[in-house]
Amino acid sequence: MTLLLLGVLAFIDGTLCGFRAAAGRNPRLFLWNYYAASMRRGALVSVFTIVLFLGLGLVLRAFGGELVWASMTAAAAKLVFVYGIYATLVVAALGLYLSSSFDFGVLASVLVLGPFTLLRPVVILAGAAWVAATSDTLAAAGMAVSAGVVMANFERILTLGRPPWSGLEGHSR
Amino acid sequence: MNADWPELSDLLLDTDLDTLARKPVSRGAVRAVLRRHGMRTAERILDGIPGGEVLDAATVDGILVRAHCELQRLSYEFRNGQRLLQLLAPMLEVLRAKLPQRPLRIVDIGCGMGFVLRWLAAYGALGDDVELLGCDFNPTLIANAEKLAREEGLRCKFRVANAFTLEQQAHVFLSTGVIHHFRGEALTGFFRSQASVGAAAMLHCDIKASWAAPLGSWIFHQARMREPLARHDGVLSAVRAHPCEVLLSASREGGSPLRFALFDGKPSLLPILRTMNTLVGVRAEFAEPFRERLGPLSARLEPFS
Repeated sequence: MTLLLLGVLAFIDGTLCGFRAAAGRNPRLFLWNYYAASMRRGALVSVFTIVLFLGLGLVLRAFGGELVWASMTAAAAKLVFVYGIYATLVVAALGLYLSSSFDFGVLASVLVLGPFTLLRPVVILAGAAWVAATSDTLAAAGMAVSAGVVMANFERILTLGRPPWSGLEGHSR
Repeated sequence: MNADWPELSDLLLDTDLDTLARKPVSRGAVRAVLRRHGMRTAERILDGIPGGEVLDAATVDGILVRAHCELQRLSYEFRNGQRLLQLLAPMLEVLRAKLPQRPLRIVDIGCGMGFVLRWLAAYGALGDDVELLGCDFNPTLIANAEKLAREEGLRCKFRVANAFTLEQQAHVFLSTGVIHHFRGEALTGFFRSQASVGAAAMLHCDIKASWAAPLGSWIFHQARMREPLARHDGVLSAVRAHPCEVLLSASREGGSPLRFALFDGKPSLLPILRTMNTLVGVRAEFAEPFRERLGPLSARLEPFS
């Protein structure tokens, strides 16, 4: 259950990273397909990442036994706790932004969506560092830190190989 | 940062106001201004712009286009189209009732890539008797605005032009994030220019000056922007935002005989609740009808004078 929850959090985060990787690059108005494609890409890469870490965990379990596995699931539970609080606030604010009136929408953005985007890498890395510091095994600590580093850079990863901005005059680098 | 610092984007462009021709900009001249103000971050951004002593216009335009793309994302998030529409729609109802001329011409001053006008054309349902025209001095931004409007089938036009010397009269002038670029006599002159060409109304939306504005702007520009120039100028814009009394005093001095009031201008303990305000100018005879048509929103509009 813990691993599933952590996977769900990574999936949601990856999908939202997909949105942000695309945002601010295309000045058109009707962008549903554009954002949907980028979010799909974020979702797919997050699934790949989740499977990769799960596979790595299973390999470590095969070599280290149940003790290592138990320490990794304990570390995952701590990560779910930290990231769960963050994700709950963000998803609630996103819901408010998308469904509410003009004023509440802007307020959700000002209070949560903007600041929390800025805090996201800090929360991810601080959470991972705390979990690593309190882990029983090196394997759990290593998994927490490496997962944290990957997720903190997830938006950057999604922009790798992205087609250059195009279709506008003066719009290339 | 302080309010007297110029925005880097303003220094990178130099336009002859008579011919609208672009003048070459010397890196050394820009650097000298930045040094005079002690703007070290801006100087680093300038150093990062590739090219020689004379700044390459295409390179500068590339930066501005990227900055405008990112700015549009922020405008979307802060619902700036909707923000203007809630005032523009009742204003148009008043003008329809009071003015015989058609079409009613709305001119966006310093429209950049025309986000607000394109949004209004797409979602505003302003009516067939309304013409939307965006003006800016930068040909690249205007070319992009036209291209985007054409691609998405939007009924708005864009021109490289001085908005105050158009051959056809503008009934409503509007702007978003423009007025903080002007200070002192230039700010008064900005309103004078609009009044002198017979504008019936104006709506100028900008960041609301408050203790929280620079911090909030920094957070959002760090979180949402990638272009260093956009990040720098975005925060500086909040620092340069005019206090309500400056806006009202300059508009009343320069924009006479129009009457002015601020929408969302009231200071609040928690400025995050209202991050932007809109200066509303109208002919005296339209002031009360406009307030009536605003409905419940009129509580957020201060008295005209």
